[in-house]
Amino acid sequence: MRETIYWLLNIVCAVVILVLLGLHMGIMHLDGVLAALLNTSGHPLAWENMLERAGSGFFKSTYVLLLATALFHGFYGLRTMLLEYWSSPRAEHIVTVMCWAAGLTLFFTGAYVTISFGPGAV
Amino acid sequence: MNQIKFKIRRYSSATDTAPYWQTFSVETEPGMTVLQGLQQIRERLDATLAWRHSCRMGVCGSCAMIINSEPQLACNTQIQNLSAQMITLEALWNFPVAKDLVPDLMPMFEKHRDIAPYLIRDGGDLPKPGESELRQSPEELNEFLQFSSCIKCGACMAACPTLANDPHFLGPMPLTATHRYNSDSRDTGFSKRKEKMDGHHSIAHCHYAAECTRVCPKGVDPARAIQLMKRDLVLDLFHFSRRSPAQPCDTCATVDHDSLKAPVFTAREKN
Repeated sequence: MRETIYWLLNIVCAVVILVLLGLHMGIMHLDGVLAALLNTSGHPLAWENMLERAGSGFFKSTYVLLLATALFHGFYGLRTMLLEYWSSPRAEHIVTVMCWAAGLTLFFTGAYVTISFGPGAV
Repeated sequence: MNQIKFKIRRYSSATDTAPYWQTFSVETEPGMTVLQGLQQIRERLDATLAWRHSCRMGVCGSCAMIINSEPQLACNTQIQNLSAQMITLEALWNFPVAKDLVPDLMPMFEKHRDIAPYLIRDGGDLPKPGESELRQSPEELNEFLQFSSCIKCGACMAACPTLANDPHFLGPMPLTATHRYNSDSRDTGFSKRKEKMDGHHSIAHCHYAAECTRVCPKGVDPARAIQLMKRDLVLDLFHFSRRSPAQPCDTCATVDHDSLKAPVFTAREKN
C-alpha cells in the first residue's frame, strides 16, 4: 500500500499547505486588513515583529509544519515526474531514496534554523 | 460529389526504416464515413494500405485511429462532420505500429490480462447455472454497468498523457476493467488486484487529464473509475470495506436454462 499511503499523505499535505499559506498570506501580506480588524500595529517585516514571531511557540510549530508538508508535497511531485522518465524498479528505488534523503536533510536543516532562532539567539 | 484529401501516416515495420506521409484524393458524398474513404483508397488507389476493421457500426472497436489528431472510430466518424478539406490519419498513439494504421495492441491486452479481468470468488468457483444464484439489485448493477461498456478499442490509451511518458503505466482501459470487476457485487477479487492497483505505474500516477473520458466512443468514464479506485484503496488502507459480497441464494427461484435454448425443428416441422 506504499503508493496509496504516499498519495494520501500528498493530499493531506495539500490541505495543510492551503491552511498554513492562508495564514501566511493573512499575516504577511494582508497586514493592513488585520491591523484594522485586530487593532495591531507595525509592519510584519519589521525586525521586532519578526523576532516576536520567532519566539512564539505557535509560529515556530506552524513554520515547521509548513516546511514538512511543503517538502513532502514538492518531493512527491518531483518523484512522480522523474519516475515517468526512469521507470525501472532499480530507478524507482534510487529516486525514492534520494527524494527521502534530500527532503529529510532540508527538513532538519530548516527545522533547526526555525527552532533555534529567536530573541535570545541574536 | 466532393473531393477531399486523406493524408495518411504510413509505415511498415517489415520494410520501412521510418514513417512517411502519403496523400490521396477521395470522392465523398453525404453520410460517408472515414472508414468508407479508406476502403475507396484501397479499392481504387493503393491496395497496400493497411488498417483494421470489422463490424462497421461502432461495436467492435477495431478501427480506432487518430483522425485529425483525435483518437476516434473510423466507422463512427462522418467525413462531413470533420469540416476539413484535409483529413489526417495515423495509427493510435502510445502503441507500436505494425503497419500503416494498424497498431500493435498487445501491450494493452497484456496489462489487461494482468489485472485479472474476470469474476473472482473467494473459496471457489461461481455457482453453476441452475444450482443457485448471485442476485444483484439494480443499484448494484449500476455500480459497474457503464464501465462494462468498454469495447477495448484503445482510444483512451492513445489519449493518455501519462502513458505517453511512462510506457509501464497501466493505462485507462485496464484500470477501468479493474474497477468494473472490483465494483461488481459478485466479485471478491479486490485483494488479488490490489497489488497492481497500488503499484508504482498505476492509479496513484494518473495525471487526471481526463482525456480518456473525453475521447471514449462508448461514453465510458475511465477517469471516474480511477478516482473511485483511489477512494477504495484509501478505505481499504483503514480497513473499511465498501460492501459485502453477494452470497449465493440457494432458495431463489432459478432459471431453467434448458427452456432458454432455441427449439430444434425438423425439416417437416419447419414446413
